[in-house]
Amino acid sequence: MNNSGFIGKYGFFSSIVVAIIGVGIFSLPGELAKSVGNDGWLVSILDGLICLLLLYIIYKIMSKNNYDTFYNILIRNFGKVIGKIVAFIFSIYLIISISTGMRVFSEVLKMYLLEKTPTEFITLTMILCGYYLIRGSLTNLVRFNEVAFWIMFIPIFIVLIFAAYDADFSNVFPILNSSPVNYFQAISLSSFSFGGIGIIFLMLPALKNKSDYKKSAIMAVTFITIFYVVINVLCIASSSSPQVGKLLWPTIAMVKSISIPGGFIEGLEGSVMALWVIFYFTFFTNGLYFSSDLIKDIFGLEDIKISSYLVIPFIYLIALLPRDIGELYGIIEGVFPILFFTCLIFFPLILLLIIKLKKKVAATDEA
Amino acid sequence: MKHKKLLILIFMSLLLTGCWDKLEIDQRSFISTIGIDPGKEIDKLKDLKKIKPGDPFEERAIDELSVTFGFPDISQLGQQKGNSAEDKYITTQAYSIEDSITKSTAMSSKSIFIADCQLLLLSSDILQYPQVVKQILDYFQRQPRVNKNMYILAVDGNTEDYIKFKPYMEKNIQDYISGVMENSERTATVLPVTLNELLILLNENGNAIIPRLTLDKDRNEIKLNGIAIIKKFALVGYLTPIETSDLEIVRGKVKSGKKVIYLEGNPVDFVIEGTKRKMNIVEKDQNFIVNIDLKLEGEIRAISLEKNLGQISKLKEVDDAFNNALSIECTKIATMMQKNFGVDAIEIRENIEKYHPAFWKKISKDWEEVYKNSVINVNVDVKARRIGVTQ
Amino acid sequence: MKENINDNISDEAQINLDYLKELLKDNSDIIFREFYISNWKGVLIYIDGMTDKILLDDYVLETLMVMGDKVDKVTDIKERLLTVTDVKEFSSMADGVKYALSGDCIIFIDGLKVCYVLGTRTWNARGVTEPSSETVVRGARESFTETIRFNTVLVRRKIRDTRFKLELKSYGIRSKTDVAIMYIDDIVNKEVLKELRARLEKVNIDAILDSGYIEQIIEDNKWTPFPQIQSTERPDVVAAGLYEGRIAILVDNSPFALIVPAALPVFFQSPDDYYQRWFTSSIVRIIRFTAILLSLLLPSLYIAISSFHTEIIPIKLAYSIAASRVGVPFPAFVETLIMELSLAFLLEAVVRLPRPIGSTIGIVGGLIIGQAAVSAGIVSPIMIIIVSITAITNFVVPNYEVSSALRVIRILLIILSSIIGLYGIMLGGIIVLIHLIKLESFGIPYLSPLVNPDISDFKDLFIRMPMCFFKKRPVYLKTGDKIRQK
Repeated sequence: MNNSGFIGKYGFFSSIVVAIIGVGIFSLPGELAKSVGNDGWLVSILDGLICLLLLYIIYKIMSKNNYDTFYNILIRNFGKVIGKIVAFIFSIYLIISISTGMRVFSEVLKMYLLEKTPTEFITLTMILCGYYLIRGSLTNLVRFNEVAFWIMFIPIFIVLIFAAYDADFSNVFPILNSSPVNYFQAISLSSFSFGGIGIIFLMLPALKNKSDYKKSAIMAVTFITIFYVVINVLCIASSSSPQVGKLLWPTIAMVKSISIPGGFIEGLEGSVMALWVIFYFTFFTNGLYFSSDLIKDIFGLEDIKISSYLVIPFIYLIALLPRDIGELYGIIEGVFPILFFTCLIFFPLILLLIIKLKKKVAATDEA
Repeated sequence: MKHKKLLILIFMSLLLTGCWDKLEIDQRSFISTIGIDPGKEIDKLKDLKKIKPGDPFEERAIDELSVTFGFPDISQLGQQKGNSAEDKYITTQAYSIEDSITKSTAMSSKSIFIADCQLLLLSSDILQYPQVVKQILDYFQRQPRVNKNMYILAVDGNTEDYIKFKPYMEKNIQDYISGVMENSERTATVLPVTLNELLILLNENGNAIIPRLTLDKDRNEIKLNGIAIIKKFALVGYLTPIETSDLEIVRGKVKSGKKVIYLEGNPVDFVIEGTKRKMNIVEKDQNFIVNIDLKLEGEIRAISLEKNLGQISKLKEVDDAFNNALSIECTKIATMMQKNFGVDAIEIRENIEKYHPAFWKKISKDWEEVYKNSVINVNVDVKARRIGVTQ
Repeated sequence: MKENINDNISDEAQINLDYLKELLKDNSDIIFREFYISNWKGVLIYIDGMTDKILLDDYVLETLMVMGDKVDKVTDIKERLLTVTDVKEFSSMADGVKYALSGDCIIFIDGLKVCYVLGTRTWNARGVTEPSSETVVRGARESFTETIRFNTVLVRRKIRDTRFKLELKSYGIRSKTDVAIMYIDDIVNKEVLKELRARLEKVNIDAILDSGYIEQIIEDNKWTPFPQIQSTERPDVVAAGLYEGRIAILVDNSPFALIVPAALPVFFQSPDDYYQRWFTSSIVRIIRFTAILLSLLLPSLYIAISSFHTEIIPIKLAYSIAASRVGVPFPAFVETLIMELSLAFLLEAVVRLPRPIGSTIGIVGGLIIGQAAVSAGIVSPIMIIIVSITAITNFVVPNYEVSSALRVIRILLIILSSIIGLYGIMLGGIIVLIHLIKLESFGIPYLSPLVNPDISDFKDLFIRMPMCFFKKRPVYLKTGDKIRQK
């Protein structure tokens, strides 16, 4: 029974937003342009709707289990052994997502900011900073999310307004020009950008007013969807879709081509790159906290500091594993959707099923 | 507490491992202009196909490019000395741009740094080799740290001469050209093209237009002389400045420019202040008709001292004269682009793609043929709103 | 460490006198006066220089010695004969001695097992002058002095509510310094009050010389450059804090009062933000925040941009910087450190120097050394500009401790940016942010109201909204009474 909670509605909202928006925004418009041409923004809206559905499923699962922690819910419904296995798979999913994100982040950083700095160094420093944050409790993590939200999004919106100045929005036409198969493909490709939604499992039990959940969570998903739609539209508007499909990181190219009239800052992408450090950092620390928390419960360790010692070497190894960018995106586009589907659709649905069955059994028992 | 100490230790030891990317600003040589000419061995391009990928010793590669880097002489800049300096330059023969950078760095006391380059000059000779042009442009597209807003021009002859040229108004050619490009808001005869725009156009179908520069050796002057038309990555022709300004009008992108007619023996200057363009495409079996409506607004600058423009009828007469003249001129230029060069510079293709997607699917395979056989009508409506301060 | 004082008071004044003469021997400024009140022997003990002798002569000794026969019983003396308003009665010798050593006068009378302590403290105190560090354009110009009683008066004049509480205790085993806690009962956050009392209990040091001692003993986290307790010289700041539900601590012998709990916004506020109109104040606040950002980031940005990422600035600026660095032997990082170091030396020297020389050194150090350094080619002109802007913006912060903390962070950012450029600055910023987030002051998160935000708290953070919006007290302080204005 978990009635205690300390996360306010703004904390909840900002945590979800910053935990989901990570390095996906770099490559998302490009991947979508390859499958569905100009309709990337439509796919983002579809993704948002799917997330709303997931929100509802998660809400049902948690509320029927008295808002207990994720691990306890798994154990209670799947039994100790299978519960531990499911939790383990879930944490593997989280670890892979933050590690591949880490690699994308260092590749982008090396490309645009620091050419000669070794990837190992970037990875290590980022991991150390993340560890420093999660040493504290969940309270500190949420506080950081609250502050980081403003630091991230106010400058980005200013930059996006400048991007809109020169953009040709008619590039968005023609709409709906691809076959339905392509749309499905695009949705699965974009799962990397929405993968962080599992963080709700972590945050919901600690929410102060459970009735705030609906409003905050829906607002968060709406915000993320709008953000992705805007980025998609602006990318296509500033360079048209064959170009976008060709670039690895079209978002950055879009920022590069912004010229502020009478402009003072020319190479805007250098400064925006610096901002993206925080985007990735929040994505990273939230995922790290959740996975360390699960590992702590699975192995019965007493403190999250110790369990994160276990997790961190794996992150380092996996981040350095792909040999090159081709392999990296191979993992993101190939392996990741499978993991996403398993952990965030398959498992929750089964959980819901089990809970409903349990209720039926309990009802028939009483009768 | 023990964890914290460990953390700090690791962090500090990491920090002491060294700074990899540090390069002091005065160690850099800021390339402001790049000029690409054909190299000495460009005729041996065919031999390149014989080299297999696994072959060692790439010195057998052919120097197909001659690249000139122009950079300002930093010692001429400073507090008292002003903000603009004469250029120095390095020319190397290389097989690719990356190679030219390496070779130039070996010759230079400072690090070659192209991220701030403002100007890219392509020799008309190198534009005859589409394979090389594709290679050059791919380099620029792949490079993350390159100025995507740099201006690109085609030059007649060797770019080396241009880079070494000392213009009258500025200390180096890059300042001069950038200035002219930025002034293009005021004239319609100059059509600036940035790297970003060029790449977008070329990625679509290999066609583009870039401004053209000519050097008059006798009078020692450099002039922007219309545009060069690129089709499938090769140079196919030129447009004169007047034709360029017409093309600009048809594209609907003129913010300021002038047009002239002759009225009773006097030239009447009409300065354009705004353009609105509507393009309408009517499908007709396998071809289409393009109707372009242009609305121009502007001011009449000069006629003849005795004439009075204050009356409505007189003004209307001038307007109609302009309408006629410009409609004919613009239709002519659009048709010329279409039939002589087969290049679509007025975004007809984009319009069909966006607003008639079904039709586009039908004709996209035979686009070139269909484009050549279609009909383009341009209708210009001129409104001279102001006539100065006299009647 | 504790003193050994025989706690009993004998009912023979002579015995008490002898005991005290032995206890306090080798002190030539302690006066022992024996006298008779009709038939009872009395002993008066006080310290010369700390006591109001006129009061003792005219109102105590005269009445006692001359009118002694007006009373029948010894116990009536206090009520009928001692014509002094402030009389306390103690049965513990230790208490009495403590008061005697504080400037009060103690009297032992035959037949009484208690001693009377008369409030006769008086000494040469500094008058109420302008505050030395927190000057304002508009507002009162009073500041605290070193006497705790005068200080509490200065605060009392601003709060005439019956719910205002003033509790006095002494801390410091040898110094027995008076420490007063002030709060307004129905507004204050009771949790914080409880926590404060618990922490003060733990004070076990021999001397409290200044409020700084108390501050350092009771603060939450000593391993941080940021202060978690506000210290101020101004009574109006104290009163404003009390009205917000905070607790003030006054320490005798110190003109700096402490206010707890303190969160970061407090350190960026200046009293005249509230006395001027909201428009001016908002602009000043915005300038202040911009100045802080500049002061933190400017040197590290310079290093990052000129050594790592030249593409960020317009090309003409890059040329200027490159041109101005021609001939400078050091890389940008070393240049910056040299200038930071010289700045630190200069600041320290100006504070310590005697007043007449101080201002001269400011000019000499600043202009001439800087100019000379450029002419000698040791640093570039751009560096001088950057360092001067940094120095000026550093002191825009109204609070000295916070500006010192900012200097530490600036050096951290400089080092990080010289290793990995812009990425280093971001990482440094993130580390500082994490550190600030973990910090708490008496249970209130340090970065309130940015964390756990309530929209009404933003009325006073980056700008100052008009007075009519100040309806609620700051929500993050979790006060008792929540409404300030209707």
